[in-house]
Amino acid sequence: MNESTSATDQNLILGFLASVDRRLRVNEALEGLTLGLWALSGLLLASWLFGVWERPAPRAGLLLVYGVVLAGFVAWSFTRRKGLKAPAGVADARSDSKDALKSSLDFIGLPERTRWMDFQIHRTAGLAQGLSAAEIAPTFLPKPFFYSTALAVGLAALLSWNPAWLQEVDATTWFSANDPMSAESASAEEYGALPQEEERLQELDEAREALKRELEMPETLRDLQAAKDALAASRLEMEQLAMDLENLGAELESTPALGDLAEAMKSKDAEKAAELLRSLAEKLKNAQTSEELQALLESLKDANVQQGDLADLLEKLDKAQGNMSEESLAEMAEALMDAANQLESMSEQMAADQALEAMGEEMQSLQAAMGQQQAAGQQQPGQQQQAGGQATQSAGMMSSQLQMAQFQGDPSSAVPVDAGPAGDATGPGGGQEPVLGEATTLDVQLEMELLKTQERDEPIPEEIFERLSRQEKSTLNYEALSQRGSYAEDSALGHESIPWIYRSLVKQYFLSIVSKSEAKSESGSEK
Amino acid sequence: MIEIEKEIDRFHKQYQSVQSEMGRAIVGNQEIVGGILSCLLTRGHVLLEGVPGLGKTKIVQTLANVLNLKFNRIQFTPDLMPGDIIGTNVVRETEDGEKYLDFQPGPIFCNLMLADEVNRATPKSQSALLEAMQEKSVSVGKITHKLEEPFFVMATQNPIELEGTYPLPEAQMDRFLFKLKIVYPTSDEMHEIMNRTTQVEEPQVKAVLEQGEVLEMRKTVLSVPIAKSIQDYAIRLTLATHPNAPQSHPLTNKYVRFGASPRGTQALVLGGKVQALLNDRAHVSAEDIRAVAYPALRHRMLLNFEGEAEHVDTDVILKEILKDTAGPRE
Repeated sequence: MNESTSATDQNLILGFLASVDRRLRVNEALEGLTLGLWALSGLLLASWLFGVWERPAPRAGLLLVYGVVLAGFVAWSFTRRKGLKAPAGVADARSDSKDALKSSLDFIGLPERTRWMDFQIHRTAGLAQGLSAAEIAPTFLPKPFFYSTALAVGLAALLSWNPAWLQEVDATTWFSANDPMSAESASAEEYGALPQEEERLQELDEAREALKRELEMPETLRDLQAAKDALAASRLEMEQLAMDLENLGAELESTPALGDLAEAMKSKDAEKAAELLRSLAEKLKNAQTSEELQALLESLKDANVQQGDLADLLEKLDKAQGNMSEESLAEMAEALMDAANQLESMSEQMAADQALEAMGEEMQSLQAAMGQQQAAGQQQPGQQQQAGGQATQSAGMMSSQLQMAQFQGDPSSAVPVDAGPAGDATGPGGGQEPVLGEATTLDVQLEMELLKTQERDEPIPEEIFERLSRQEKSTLNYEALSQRGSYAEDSALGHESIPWIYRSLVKQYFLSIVSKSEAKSESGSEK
Repeated sequence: MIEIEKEIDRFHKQYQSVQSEMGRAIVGNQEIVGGILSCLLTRGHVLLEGVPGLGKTKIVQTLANVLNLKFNRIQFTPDLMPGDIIGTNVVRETEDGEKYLDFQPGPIFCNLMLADEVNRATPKSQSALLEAMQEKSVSVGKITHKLEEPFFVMATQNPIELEGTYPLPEAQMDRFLFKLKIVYPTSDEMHEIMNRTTQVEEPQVKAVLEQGEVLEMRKTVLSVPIAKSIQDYAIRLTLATHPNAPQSHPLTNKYVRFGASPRGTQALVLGGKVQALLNDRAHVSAEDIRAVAYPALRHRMLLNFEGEAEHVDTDVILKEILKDTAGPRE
């Protein structure tokens, strides 16, 4: 067979197999499409179950993504090529050619072929010529394709069904609605505005739901009211206290020795007043003479303080004077220190009241904002939702802070939030360079570890030889090797090594010895 | 192209003539005759197994007559010695009175040898066949004597009378290309056997094939190409008989101790080539491989204790392997 014939045969076989392969890939793509339609049915059901179907935006996105994936899958299943071996196998099986096409394809791929291989290729080419690719691999829509299509279409129709379609419609309305001209213009406008309207409606719905949820929190409102009442009470108390301090300062102003104290009280600086009282107590302690003491106390008494709320403080001052008369300076100083402590607690209470007042103002502003949002919520709930949510959230936080302060009774808990955490003064932001002291030194002296040596007995000269012999004696237990030997080894080791040809000689030797020794013994006994 | 067509056609005719001539003496047993011819044409040897009286010896004798080849028969007995098979050196004397050793060839020096009841001889005598079957030569003393082609051994063994027998060792079994099981004839076949063998004249066969033609047919068989995918199928079938191998069958893992050797795959492929030619094809198909799977692999699977205890037939395991092994890969 010449080469051109062989090439023709090869082309014939390869062409036939390529045609079969193409048809098989089309069938595969259709099967993929069928699978995709089943998946679409599943997707529709799932979207209905999870409520995605009722929302236009995610529904459209979902369907778009699905369509792209399905188209990609179908295109991929059609375009992928797995070689011609698979179509050859299919063609062999369907044409009952007993692996002729597969074998010929193998032979075509060989670099060197025998006559018989060429002959086989030639035969197969004739076979392929008689075969029809359409008969071997017919392209058809699989039955499940129809089922899946029907199911997907049915589900889509069912989910899109609107009961309002069946309601009776007025004839005028119907005709106006079905007027082609008006319908065209209206539909054009509607279609243009539809996506925006839908989005706006959706946002409004979501905002309304969120606001509704926020407003349905009675606990927050109760907290707000309680905080408001507490603020009102504390504000009154704080005002009274400030007034008392101012009056006290005015009364003390007349006394020259207590000018600073009076100034501090007038300026409502209770902390500074407490500091000044402490220094006064120190002066009392350090007073050199009784005259000085007398002058100090007189000046205090001359202050003629008449404030009802500061009666405790004045009582303590009287007590200090009484102690002076008893010349008990220590007790007098202690009474002054108590007065200073009381003033200091007053100062802390004032600071707490100021913080509460600040928070009250903030709360009032938030409440006002909430009221505005609630009022405007019915018109533009979408815009108010954020502010309302923030207000409620801030109010909730504020009320919880107040509750904590009231529960613990700790004035420091009412300190404003912007006080910030305590920082590290030695850090780079502290403003001061750290002052380093002298370096400390640690003298360490290592001691040599003393190892205890075993005490050895000095050998006694007389026992040297005995000791040596004792040491040489082994302490290991050992067994006799013969006990471990097997019977076979024993017999192998113990077997007689005297060659049989010499046995008679050995026997004669021993017999001769025995005869001589017997003769000797006999002769000895005779003797 | 036409030459090959003629070659195939000639092979077909010659094969048919042998089979039809044998059919004159042998009733039924078409598969057995086909199997024997396949072994003959692929340079293999065959082991026939069957109960007494089924015509094992008759088939072999008839084949020898039809092929017009030199035929010898050895009845294997426990006292048979290797020298009785391969021959021995005898002392001879020349006319001058000088003595010399002369090799006296044994009955193995023939084209067709029937080793009847081969399992009755001792392993020593059985092993004497090993070199002859594989190497087609016999070594006596320092001299190796080549056997004439075609050399074809047909051994028979009785599966039921096992007392006083020596089962063939695995190495010996592996040298037989096929193991064929002769089964009882059907009722119609029995009638035909009675008609032919209980009359005055028994049917006589004539030689239809010469030695040279047999060798030509062998060449034709070996020329048939096999695709790689089909060869791969044959290999997977063989590997499925190996216990604890990746391709092994669950039944193999349960009942088989040793699987078929590469000689088993060779037997599958060679037998498949004969089948392809008989089906007028110039290529081997998976169907051809399956057709010879039983005779090619059944004696190459060694059962384990469990398999022996449960009297598992290797044909049952092979049936499952053929059923479960996937066809040629696409």
